[in-house]
Amino acid sequence: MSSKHDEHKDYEQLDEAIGHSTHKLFNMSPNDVLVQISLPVVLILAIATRLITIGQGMSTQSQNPAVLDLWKQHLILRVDRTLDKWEKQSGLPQFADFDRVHWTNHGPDDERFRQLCEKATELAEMEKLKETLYRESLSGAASSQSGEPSSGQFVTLYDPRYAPSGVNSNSVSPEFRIDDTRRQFAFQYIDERCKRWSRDIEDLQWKLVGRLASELPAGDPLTDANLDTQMKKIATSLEARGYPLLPGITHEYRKAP
Amino acid sequence: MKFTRLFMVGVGVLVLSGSLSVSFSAIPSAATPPSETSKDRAKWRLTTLSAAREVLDELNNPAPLSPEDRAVLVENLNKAMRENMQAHISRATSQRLCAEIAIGLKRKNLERRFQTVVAHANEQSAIPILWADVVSHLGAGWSNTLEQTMQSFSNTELVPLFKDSRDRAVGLLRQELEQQLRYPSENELNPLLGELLARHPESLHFSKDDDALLQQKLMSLLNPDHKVYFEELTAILNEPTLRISTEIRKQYEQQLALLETATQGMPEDRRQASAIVAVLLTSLEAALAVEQAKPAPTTVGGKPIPVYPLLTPVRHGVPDAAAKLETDRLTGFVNTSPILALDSDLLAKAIRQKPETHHTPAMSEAEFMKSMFPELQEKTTTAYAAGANPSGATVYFRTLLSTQSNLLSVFQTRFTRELHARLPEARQTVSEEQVKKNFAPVERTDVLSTAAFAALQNSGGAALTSLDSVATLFDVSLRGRDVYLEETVDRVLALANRKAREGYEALSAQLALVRKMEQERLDKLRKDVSTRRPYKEIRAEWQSALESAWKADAKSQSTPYKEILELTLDSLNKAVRQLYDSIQATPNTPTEATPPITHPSAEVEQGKVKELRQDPAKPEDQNQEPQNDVIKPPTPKKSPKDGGGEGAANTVLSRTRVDRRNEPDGILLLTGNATGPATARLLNQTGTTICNISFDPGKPKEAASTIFEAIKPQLKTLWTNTYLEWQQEHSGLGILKRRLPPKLKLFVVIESEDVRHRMSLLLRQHIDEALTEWGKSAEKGTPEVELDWKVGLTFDQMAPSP
Repeated sequence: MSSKHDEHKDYEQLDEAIGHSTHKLFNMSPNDVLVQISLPVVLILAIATRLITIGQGMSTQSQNPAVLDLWKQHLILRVDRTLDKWEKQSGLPQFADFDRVHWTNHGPDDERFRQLCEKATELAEMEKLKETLYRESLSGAASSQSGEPSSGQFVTLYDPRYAPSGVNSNSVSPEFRIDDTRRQFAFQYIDERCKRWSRDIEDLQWKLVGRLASELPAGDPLTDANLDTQMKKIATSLEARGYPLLPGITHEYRKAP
Repeated sequence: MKFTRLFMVGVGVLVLSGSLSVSFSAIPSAATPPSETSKDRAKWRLTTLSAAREVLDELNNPAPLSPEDRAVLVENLNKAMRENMQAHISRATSQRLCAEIAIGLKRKNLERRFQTVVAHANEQSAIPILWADVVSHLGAGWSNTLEQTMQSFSNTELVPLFKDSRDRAVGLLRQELEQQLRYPSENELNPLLGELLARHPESLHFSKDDDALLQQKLMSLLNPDHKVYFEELTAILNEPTLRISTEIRKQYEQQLALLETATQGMPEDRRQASAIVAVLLTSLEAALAVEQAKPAPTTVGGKPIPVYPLLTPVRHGVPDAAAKLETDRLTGFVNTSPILALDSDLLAKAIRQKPETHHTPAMSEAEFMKSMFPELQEKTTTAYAAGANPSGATVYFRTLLSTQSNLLSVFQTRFTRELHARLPEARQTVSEEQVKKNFAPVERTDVLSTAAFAALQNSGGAALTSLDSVATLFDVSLRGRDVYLEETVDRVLALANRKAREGYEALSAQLALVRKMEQERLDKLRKDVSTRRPYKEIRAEWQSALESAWKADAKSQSTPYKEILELTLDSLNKAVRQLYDSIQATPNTPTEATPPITHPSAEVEQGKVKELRQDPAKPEDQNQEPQNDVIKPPTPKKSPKDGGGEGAANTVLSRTRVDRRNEPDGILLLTGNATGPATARLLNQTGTTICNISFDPGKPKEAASTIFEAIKPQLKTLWTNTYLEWQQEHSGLGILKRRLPPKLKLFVVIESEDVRHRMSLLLRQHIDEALTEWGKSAEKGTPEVELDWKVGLTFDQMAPSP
């Protein structure tokens, strides 16, 4: 007991000594420091960051024009219709995933996929296909064939290089006349779409080849120690079964001359 | 994911570099497709499939070994064989081991090939390809395909591969060994030859076994580490080592031939071994120097054939050859030297000087050997040494001749040969001299004296066997028995026996005439008696008739006895007298009842005719028996059937009982007649027959044995009694008595003249031997029982046969 009493007495003496000091070093509790200083600082930093982000967005939006030219709107509209038509005819949208291809007895057995592969052979001559599609877009055949209502049906887009015979160029407003620059824009637009098709179909066909290869035993007649020969055998076999492969696949292992 | 596969590729390559089978089975068969683009994945699949196809093509249609691969395999197998030659000695074993190695190498080769395929495939694919991915296309049975490929390799490639490898290894090793092959140096060869020749020290020449052994030792010399080689090399290496050993042997034999030639050409005056050795060594070294000066041919590996200097075994053989030549020369000298030629006169002179040491030829030889041998040795060696160069080696050769057994034997042989050639002549000379000088009476005597005839009659005409009997018969005085040579004795005995035989034959013939006359003239005698003709006239008439008959017989015989002998006249007189008296006593008795002629006891008592003889088996000079040993037969003679034999025995007993000392222990009575078998009866002291045996008197030897075997038990009893009696007499106070030997007294009474004299001798010999045999079992210190053997005849030996 005497010891506890002595200890308490020591604490009292210490408090007393602090209370009578002329310099007080800590007059706030830690809780007071958190509420009164740190929280306001964090809020101020968050608001500043948000304001900076909003400012950057507004400056970006102010750089693009808000409205396209009229010839461009018509041209894009017509090309889109033609391309959509080709895409629909190939059946590519149905094969968003290779697993949708029907597969029996170690090989594909899918008419739609066979149709896609046959259609995809047009992609082998990409420039020709692009011209065909461009010409078809200018002529508006896609719209007339599909029977869809078109907002620009009454506007004639005239490209002197691809103008059908009998069209009077003088009757076409210069606004809708396709010059080299505008044609280049159109072909670039078609090219992007064709390349995407080609990429998607090649992807499907590589999957086809991959699966086929995974299921072939080493002693199968289609296999060969030479990769190019083996690829040719596989391609020939698939083509014979109605699945022609794109040249990019068939000629994958062809050595450069 | 890519990092994971890259890690797996690393692991796969590591595993692939290990055991092919283990790596293929240890890698998981299923592979997870990567998650890259479809093209990447498809190309990964295609490349894996193509790699699998390439592996399969490699397994199904293995390409024949390329020259490079073949060279590598051959080199590897060659290396394996050379590194472990012990295991590859046998070609068959080596082929088996090489097959294992080659298959292992082929597996490694395939591993590397597949490793290359996988690596090449990885170059074609963005996604790493694992060996397991390739295996997944090969299918589960690919390991069988692999084994079939290895089997195909084993069947087609292994044999030619092993042949090439083995040939290469053997060829290389042979080249190396041929480089090592060489002729051994002189220092190497000499101990080797010494070791070989030590196996047969008696000959310096090679034996059949030596050739093989030399070849073997050369092989050891050229291959000191005793490396083992392929079995093909054993035969290959044998050929050069055989050539080397043949050349060595040839040179060695040439050196021996040179030694032989030098030995044969040795100057005649070189007789001492040391001198011969010096000449031989000089000759050999000179001859070899000539050989060494010639250009050396080359054979083994193009290396020159060395011409060896004088080889140590040959050098060591020089003293032996010299010693042999020394011995041969001395032997030749001993065999031919006239010094050793003996003179018979000289020998005769030596015999005359000391005849007692030359009684027999053997004694002469011994005497001459003792007296002449050293002297002749001395003379021989002195003469031999005189002809030697250097001279003055007399002592050396004398020592040689007296110490070397072979030389001594040669000398003895020569001396003995000479002695045998000359000695008979010398002895003959001396013998003739002795006969002439000492036995002239024998030579001169043509007709024997009456006393000589009496002695001859007593011995039954037995042959003379000693000079004493000759001296008695021919009245010769001997100057000593030892001084006469054996040849002299033989010569004298032969001469004396010839003359005695002539006399005895004449006496026998005359007595036969007397007996014949008794038969022929009996009737006339009866008439003469009846007419009372005077006895003297009758006697004269009979003598005249006898003389006439003898003269007629003598004419047809070359006998010196032309007159009737005195003994014959006595016999004639007795016969006539007996006949005359008997006829006169019984005038009316018919002729057939005339009793047989017997000798009057009175005449016997007077000793005119010796009726009882001494035992002829005893020596003549011991025949002087005391009078009480003489047994006289009873008269008149009776046949055995009449109990005459027992009568004779009883007579003997009754006579001897008067004198107890002469009482016999047993009497053997031998009776019989000419027609039937004879009988032998053994009687004891009381005259009782204790044994009765029949025997054939015509077969003396068998008869003696039969009688002896029959009476042997009784004799043993008699012997035992005699022996015990003697012991009793000499025990106690008897020990003070004079120790005379015990005697077994046996009297033999012969009643039949059919019983041969020889048979009694043989019988006595049997009994003597039996006594000796039984005496061996007697107590020590006891003298042997002697046989007191007396023989009595109950008939007149000179009387004619009935």
